[in-house]
Amino acid sequence: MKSRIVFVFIFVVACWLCFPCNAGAQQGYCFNTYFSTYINSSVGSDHASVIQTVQVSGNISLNNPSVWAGPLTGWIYPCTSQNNAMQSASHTYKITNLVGSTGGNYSEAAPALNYNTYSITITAPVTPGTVYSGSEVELITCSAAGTIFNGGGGLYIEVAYTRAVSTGAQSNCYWNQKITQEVCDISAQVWCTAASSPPDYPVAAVSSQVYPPPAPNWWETFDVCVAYGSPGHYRPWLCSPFGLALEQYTALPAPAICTYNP
Amino acid sequence: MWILKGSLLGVGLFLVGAILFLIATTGPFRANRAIGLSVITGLTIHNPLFWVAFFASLMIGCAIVGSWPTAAKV
Repeated sequence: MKSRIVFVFIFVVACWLCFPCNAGAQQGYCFNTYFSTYINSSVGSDHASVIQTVQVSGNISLNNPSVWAGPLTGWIYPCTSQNNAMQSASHTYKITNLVGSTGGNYSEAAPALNYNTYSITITAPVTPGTVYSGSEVELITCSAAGTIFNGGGGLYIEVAYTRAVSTGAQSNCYWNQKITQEVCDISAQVWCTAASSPPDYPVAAVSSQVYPPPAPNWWETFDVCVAYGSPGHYRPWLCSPFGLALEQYTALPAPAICTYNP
Repeated sequence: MWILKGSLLGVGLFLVGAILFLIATTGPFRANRAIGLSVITGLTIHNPLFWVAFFASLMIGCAIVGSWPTAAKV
């Protein structure tokens, strides 16, 4: 039984290590978030109080990806307006720091593009031997983009679906001599409806056969993704590097309803 | 019975090896990159060496199980 638990632990850790370390930062579409939380609780020198510090710090960086919107419209930049709004936006940092009945909700506003640290320390009187309920929540809302970070909540997992369209650019090509096949990384753009954009799994490239021709025009892609948070505050989703793409060789269809759980 | 056990062991060995082979050949892995089905089938069911490895694994599994020491009957 013990060896089975150890095996399961090693398996879970191995799977977790398979996720790219910086994938969380790459998952962002119009912006990347770089926030971290810190919680520390210690007993006061009088042995009759608890000192609890909750801190959230970090910043965001802006992206401006291009999306191929078809031959009539050409390339569009869906993040431009939001990026402009971010220049004058503010972020509200909200912390809940509670031990028993001491503490509460605290908030602070700061310019959206600045690195900011917000820390709240409370000293709560306690009676040794008594169990107190406590809670800590770190929430950052942006006046231009809504909630961008949620330090509370649980771990969620999903199989994400995204339709991706080829932009034609090929890289990292190699030759599979056994079956006379050439494989390349083909640059891709997501092809999802506005209501399901940006998708949880923002496919940027697909490794596909280019010889014998033709190369695929678009793909239906699937991947397992995880997120930490609560409904409405899941982003960013962290997807495994083992996404599967089904190659399609027909004309480009309408944008799909991709998996989108904000 | 030993053929069944050997086949199961061989299939297990083969699956582990196939997964490690796919990971090694389709990497390096990056975020937001998917692997096309044509690449996976090209490395597996369309690859003659894949089937050679499959039957070799079955034989190795049977050989291992067949060589297991059994309790002597009194």
